[in-house]
Amino acid sequence: MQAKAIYIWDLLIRIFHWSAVILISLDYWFLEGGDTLHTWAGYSLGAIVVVRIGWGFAGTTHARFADFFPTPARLRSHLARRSLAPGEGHNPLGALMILAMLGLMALIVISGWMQTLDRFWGEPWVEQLHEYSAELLLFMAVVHVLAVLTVQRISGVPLVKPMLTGWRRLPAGNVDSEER
Amino acid sequence: MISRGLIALVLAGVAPVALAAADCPKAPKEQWMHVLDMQKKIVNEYGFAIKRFLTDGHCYEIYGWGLNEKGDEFVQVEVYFNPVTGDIVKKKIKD
Repeated sequence: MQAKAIYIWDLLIRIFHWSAVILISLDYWFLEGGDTLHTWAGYSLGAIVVVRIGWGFAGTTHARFADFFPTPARLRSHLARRSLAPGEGHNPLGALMILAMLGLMALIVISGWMQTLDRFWGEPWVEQLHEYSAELLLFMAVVHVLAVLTVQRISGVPLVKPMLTGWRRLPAGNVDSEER
Repeated sequence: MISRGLIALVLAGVAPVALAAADCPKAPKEQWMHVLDMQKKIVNEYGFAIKRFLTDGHCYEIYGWGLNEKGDEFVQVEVYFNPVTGDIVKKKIKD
């Protein structure tokens, strides 16, 4: 059986994704708030989020916001179809999650930076905003991983591999399934 | 199997956070220093400026400013105190 491979995630997207995983894990579990390293890991996260947002306008097909922005029409049709097109990047529900997580990352970086200013140092609401949004981001990451694994299993469309190699390999029999 | 590994990672998500906190010995409240005595000690003996004073678990805690390691600049500090003796339990100074 001949296999067909589709290029889904470009190198920048993959580097962004796994750098975000590493930086967030470092700051959440290993580097205590207030430490220089925690701060710099946070600023690095901010920098790659900015690059990712820029890439959302200038990047390859599936990197662009226009490609996956979850408009109500797209969400409705996705929910009605309840399936994935093999050549698809973020599906509309996944896109909602990705936008929310990008927003949360920005919020976490900004509220973290604010605590370095004397004006907001020790300010309870800034501290809580930083901590609660980090908890929420972690919860969403868990949902994200579970959703990826579930959807991958149900649809038979590989989702994990493309985020590692860039390529989605489909068995030949599966390729005509744009409508499934 | 990739999925198994990922699920294990997800479950590791319940592992504790690297949160800033300190361990102070548990002591009955009537043995605690009065807040004002604690604050006098913090300002007069340790030389910190207090922005926020609070109780964190079994500790007194402040957010404020103090001299840096080199002793040439006032920087942000977060300090935990033993509420019975007033000793510094943990001190985080911005470098």
